[in-house]
Amino acid sequence: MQVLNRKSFKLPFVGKDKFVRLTRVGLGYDGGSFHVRDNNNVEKIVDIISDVLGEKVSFFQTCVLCGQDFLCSGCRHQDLCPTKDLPLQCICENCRATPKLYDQYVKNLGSGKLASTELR
Amino acid sequence: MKDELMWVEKYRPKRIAEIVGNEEAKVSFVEWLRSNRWRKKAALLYGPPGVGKSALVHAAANELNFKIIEMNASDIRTEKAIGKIAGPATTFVALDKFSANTEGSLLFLDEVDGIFGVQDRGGVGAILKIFAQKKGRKEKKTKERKEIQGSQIPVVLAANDPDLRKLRPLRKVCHLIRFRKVRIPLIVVLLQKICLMEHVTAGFEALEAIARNSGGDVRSAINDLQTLSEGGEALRVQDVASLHPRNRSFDFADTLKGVFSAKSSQEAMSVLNSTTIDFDSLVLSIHDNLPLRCKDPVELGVAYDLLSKADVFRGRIGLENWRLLKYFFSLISQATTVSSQPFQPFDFIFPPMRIIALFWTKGKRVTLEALCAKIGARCHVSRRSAKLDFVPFIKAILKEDKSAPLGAWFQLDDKEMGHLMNMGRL
Ligand SMILES: Nc1ncnc2c1ncn2[C@@H]1O[C@H](COP(=O)(O)OP(=O)(O)OP(=O)(O)O)[C@@H](O)[C@H]1O
Ligand SMILES: [Mg+2]
Ligand SMILES: [Zn+2]
Repeated sequence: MQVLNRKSFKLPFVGKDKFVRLTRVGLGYDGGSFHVRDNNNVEKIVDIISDVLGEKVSFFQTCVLCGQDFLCSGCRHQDLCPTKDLPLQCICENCRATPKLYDQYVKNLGSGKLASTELR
Repeated sequence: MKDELMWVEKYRPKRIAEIVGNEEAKVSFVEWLRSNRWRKKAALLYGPPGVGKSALVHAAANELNFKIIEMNASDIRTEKAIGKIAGPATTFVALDKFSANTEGSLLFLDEVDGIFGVQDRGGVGAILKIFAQKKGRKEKKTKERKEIQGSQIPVVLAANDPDLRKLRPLRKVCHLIRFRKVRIPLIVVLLQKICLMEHVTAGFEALEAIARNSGGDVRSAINDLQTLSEGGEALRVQDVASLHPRNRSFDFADTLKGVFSAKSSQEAMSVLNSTTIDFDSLVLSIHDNLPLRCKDPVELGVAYDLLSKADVFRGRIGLENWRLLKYFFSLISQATTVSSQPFQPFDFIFPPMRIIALFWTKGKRVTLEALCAKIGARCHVSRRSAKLDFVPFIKAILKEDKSAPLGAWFQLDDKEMGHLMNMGRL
């Protein structure tokens, strides 16, 4: 299994067809590396990349609170999570134990972050 | 009842950051709204129920100072009405902009699949007309023409399923924003906050269990939390085990939305024909939600009457009596379409165990059920009908005169008599 970081990852030569499909379903490409530009169809992105690499791919999760990257494999809700391994935001194991988490969450998101592309 | 307000109302997010999960969608929507891109495309928020689509539009409007013009009723979402508000050369917006403390208005067409999907009254056409960019040669030459094209105000649509045939043409003129089921840890964070505000003591694992059971539907999770904490005791993980699994919540939401927004009883009937909700839950859910759909007391009375008739049929639908199902469905679909008012979206109450749990702690519930079974058997009505239509009156009669022969006739024992006299209002 390969683990990718949505902000930037490299792929072997994918060929023109697949490249076009990948950009259509929401990948961005800037001189050598790819990133997830649009989250609407990430399942399709995963499918195509898995096909290219010939193995399963999963993405790092980003913690909304501390910004750390982590994996779904350590999460005890992965049995039920419909978005497992997709490049989305969640809360890391460490932060889950923090008291007053909601207030911190609201504060974090409220501090202008929403306006930037930082959350992408 | 401990709380008059439903917590989903009470804790309706006022700011964007108060909406948990779907970070990418929130960013995408805010960026769209803040840029000028809304002139060229409408935004279509889509995804499963109860994850914050409508909430985001309201919170963002509140935070970014947009005044929402909401068009809910199917009747007024005609091509003409939509064009008047958002179309080019409208005077509507010009007037609005004079007001200094607002960014202007925002047109919100919520639950478009319910309306456009069922009966297109030109709504899709109107949206297409506003945003269709004709790139003909003639158009390119006249720059002015191009500038007045597009919308005068941001237009936001929300739907569960954008793949519906009726909605598909919209995809081209919409900035699509997908909502997903909210992840479990994020739901837990919100539930923790609500517990704090409501002084509910709940174990972390109990909240996790509610979130896990919710199927990523925040509205359901909040409703479940409220239901479970009505008893006032500390919430343990075992208590959560009594919950209805929410993974079928789409069926509930779909069915309720379908039958209550239907324009005719035939339309409601076709929804019922494909529902997977069991019939008891169906009757209870309709019962719970009727007052939200039907505001006129006279109409509401008619609707409840139809529902109670349906309930009688329900009691008779056995394995050999499937023909009765038709009557059952027919009565229910009449009940849900009694109101003469156009449908306005509301937050459905489901699953129905809520109503039971809200009023009865577990031990009492068993006594009540036994009592209703006896009354039902005597009066030839369903248990449910006994509870709703008979118990209040029997209680009133017995309160008046404890030795009335009624108690003996129903063969109620002392415990049941005591329970009946002392119980609160149904
Ligand atoms: N992500 C969320 N964060 C906080 N509260 C939420 C969230 N999602 C839903 N809620 C709560 O549930 C209520 C209903 O949510 P909302 O109306 O936004 O759902 P929706 O996605 O529009 O669902 P539907 O498809 O059924 O219209 C809100 O008033 C709020 O209390
Ligand atoms: Mg909604
Ligand atoms: Zn973290």
